Amino acid sequence: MTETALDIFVFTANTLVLIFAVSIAIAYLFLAGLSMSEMKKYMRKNFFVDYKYILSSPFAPGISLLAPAYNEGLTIIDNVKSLLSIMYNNFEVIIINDGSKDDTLEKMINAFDLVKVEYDVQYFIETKPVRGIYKSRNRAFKKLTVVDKVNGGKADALNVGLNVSRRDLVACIDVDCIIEPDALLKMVKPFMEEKTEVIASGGVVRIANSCVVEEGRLIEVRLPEKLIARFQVLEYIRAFLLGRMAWSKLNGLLLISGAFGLFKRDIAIKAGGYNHKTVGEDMELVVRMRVYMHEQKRKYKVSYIPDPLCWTEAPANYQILGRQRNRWARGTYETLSIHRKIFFNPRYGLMGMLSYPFWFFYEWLAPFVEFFGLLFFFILVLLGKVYWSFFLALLLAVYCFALFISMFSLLAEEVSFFKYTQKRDVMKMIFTGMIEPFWFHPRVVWLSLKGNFDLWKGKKSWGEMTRQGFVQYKKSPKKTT
Amino acid sequence: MPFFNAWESSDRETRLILTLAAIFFGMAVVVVFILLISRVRKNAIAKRTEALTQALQGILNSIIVNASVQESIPRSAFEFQIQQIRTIVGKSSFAKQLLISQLIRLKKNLTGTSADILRQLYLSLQLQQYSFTQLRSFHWYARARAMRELTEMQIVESAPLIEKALSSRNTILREEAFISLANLRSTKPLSFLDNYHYPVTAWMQLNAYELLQKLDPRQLPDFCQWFDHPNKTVSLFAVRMTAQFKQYSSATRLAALLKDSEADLRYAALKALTDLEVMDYLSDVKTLDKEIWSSPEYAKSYIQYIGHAQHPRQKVDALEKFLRHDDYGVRFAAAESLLNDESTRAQGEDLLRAAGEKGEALMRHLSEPLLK
Repeated sequence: MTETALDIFVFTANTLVLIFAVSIAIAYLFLAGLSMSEMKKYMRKNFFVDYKYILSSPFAPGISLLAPAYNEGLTIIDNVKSLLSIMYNNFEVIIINDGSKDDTLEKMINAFDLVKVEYDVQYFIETKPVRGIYKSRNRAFKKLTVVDKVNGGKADALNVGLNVSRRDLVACIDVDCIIEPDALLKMVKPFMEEKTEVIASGGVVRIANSCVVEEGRLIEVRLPEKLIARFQVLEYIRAFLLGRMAWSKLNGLLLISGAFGLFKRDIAIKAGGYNHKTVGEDMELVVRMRVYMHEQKRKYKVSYIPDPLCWTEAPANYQILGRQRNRWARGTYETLSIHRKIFFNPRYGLMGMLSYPFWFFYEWLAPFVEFFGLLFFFILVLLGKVYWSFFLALLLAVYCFALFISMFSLLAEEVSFFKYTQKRDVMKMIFTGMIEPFWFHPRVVWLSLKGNFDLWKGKKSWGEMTRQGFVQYKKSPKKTT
Repeated sequence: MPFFNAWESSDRETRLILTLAAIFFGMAVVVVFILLISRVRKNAIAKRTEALTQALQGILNSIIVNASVQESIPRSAFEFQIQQIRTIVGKSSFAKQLLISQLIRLKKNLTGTSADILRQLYLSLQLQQYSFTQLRSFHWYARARAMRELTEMQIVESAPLIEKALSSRNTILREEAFISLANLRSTKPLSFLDNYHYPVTAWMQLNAYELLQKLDPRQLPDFCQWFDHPNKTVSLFAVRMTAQFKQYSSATRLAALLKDSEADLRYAALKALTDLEVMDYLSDVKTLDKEIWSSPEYAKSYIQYIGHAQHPRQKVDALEKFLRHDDYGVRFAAAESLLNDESTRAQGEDLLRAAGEKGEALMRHLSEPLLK
């Protein structure tokens, strides 16, 4: 009797895991196909677009670039210069010094000839107090505003930026990211071309490890030398090119990367701004803006473009990667938990019926299924209940599927923006895709579980992100004779 | 163990899974194969593009320089250069497309004789035939590109063909046709709007405006003819263009729109009148006094208009209540209007001081030279 009960349990568990695995595979195949088709359409549609028209047009919306800075003294000047040189006409750069303990503010004051001004700050969104607002006496830096505030974290700093901004759109960026010069021109287009109101727009974030950078500008794209960064390149291509593009087409996109996103300021403020109680504030804001629009019964769209617009430095060792993934896992759970009311709630349309459940089952729950599946497997081994030939066949099928998805994402990169032009880079990436399921993926699963465990223990901090810095390249001065 | 035995005894599942594994593996191999072929092909295309571009650019440069330094190029020299290009391009569609792109890129950066000679070259090489063929292509993207080419080269004869795309089910084709036609029919631009039933997006407006700017102002249509268009987006486009191209003669029609049943149109008309700085319709604008209160965006244009049109005393009376508006942007606009006008500055300051700390903070902000 007991043995039969065990058998029923084993059979049920196996069947559930199988259903989960098959459904996830179908979902990924569907998303990959849809993404590829959308990407091709995007490329063809924008092949001959003259983005320079936007530069001089009175119809182009104004944009505020919001960049929080905390202890960025080493690189802040280059970063600000890079932001100021972005190609757009009607824009301003707002740097929010989030109570840095180093000389971030002093360096900006000296480099840009800043003075404190009598700015009438409004607290549309409640934040930590603003200590002062600085403008440059030099007309060359007219577009620059520096806000000095009491430390309150990234979300709080971005909320101050939302309060201070006076433009229709706000681009929230990480100050240490490298933004492509034409990024705003490309990001703003969906806001103008869609018939329905676009409330946010995101673009592809790429990994800049080993790339050559000069004064905050990307000079040469190179494939990362370290394997850990290369795994992340593959991961980013898969997530950005194969996932988000499809979700955007379905109008179910829930996440715009915190590294670079463009939002409608009034909607972001009405929705309550960034939530500083979660470490996944980027995803949480998008979900909340969507919820707000649903509740207001307004038609809207969250748009996404596949152009590589922003380059960021990925964790270069497993310790830093651990902190990052720990934060991502906690952020995902916190966001899903805050907005649990939309789970399979038809009132929230596709977001409630598809996007949220997808995130819940395939992003948040998947590591648990994988981990407990593995545990269950070991128990079955001990009980001698493993049908080895079937197990090996299944393992092979899962590996081949993962390999196919990785290769397909590389193909998506190849047919779209073709950033790694060296022949050997393709071979390196194929090799990376082949070993990733054994070498990198298990660690990511483990880090994700650890993040959830830390959340359960009450961990709230961001976790320090130590960066190695880009490969700096300076033009050698011309020799004078 | 009936369940487990049933599962175990069957090899069908294993075979099925192995088949699936083989399919995925095969697909992965095919993808890798395509990937590698694509890489080789792209590299070859890049090399060919570079070689062709260099070869063509040299000849094009020489044609442009000749056109700019001589009043007229000797026919024989021009024919010789055309022959050189023909030899390079041959019958290759790839080379033709590349040449067209090159001509368009150059033409965008040139004006006068140099731009004319590029158009002449496009015609002499009969590239318009290639564009026309593309315009009839099955692929929407080829048609869209051909529209751009024919428009850039001002091939007016293509207008009837392009006009057909205005009713296409493909949004991108419709948009491209709209943008092309806005630029193409120089004798009667935008006449196609009479029968246009699809939305005119901000992107289409932006493109159309950029192209219309290049026209001789005397050729621009009277945009007011579309104020009553059944398609609201066409009316909004017309109102915005009226303001952009400073068509003061349409001011009366704009004032009439202030009584339109559509709020969007009333707002656009108010904004257009403000942008045109036509201050003769104060009484018409004042009829909006009650409804603008609930619409901050609307209120800002209203404040701007009232600020310009009123005499100082009436202006202070009219704007005073806006200093107490719930929306900060509206309060800011009212204070700015009062403080930026010398004749109302003192009264404005008094009102802001009376409003307490918030009013004084606003006043200090508006007096800050670096924030102007």
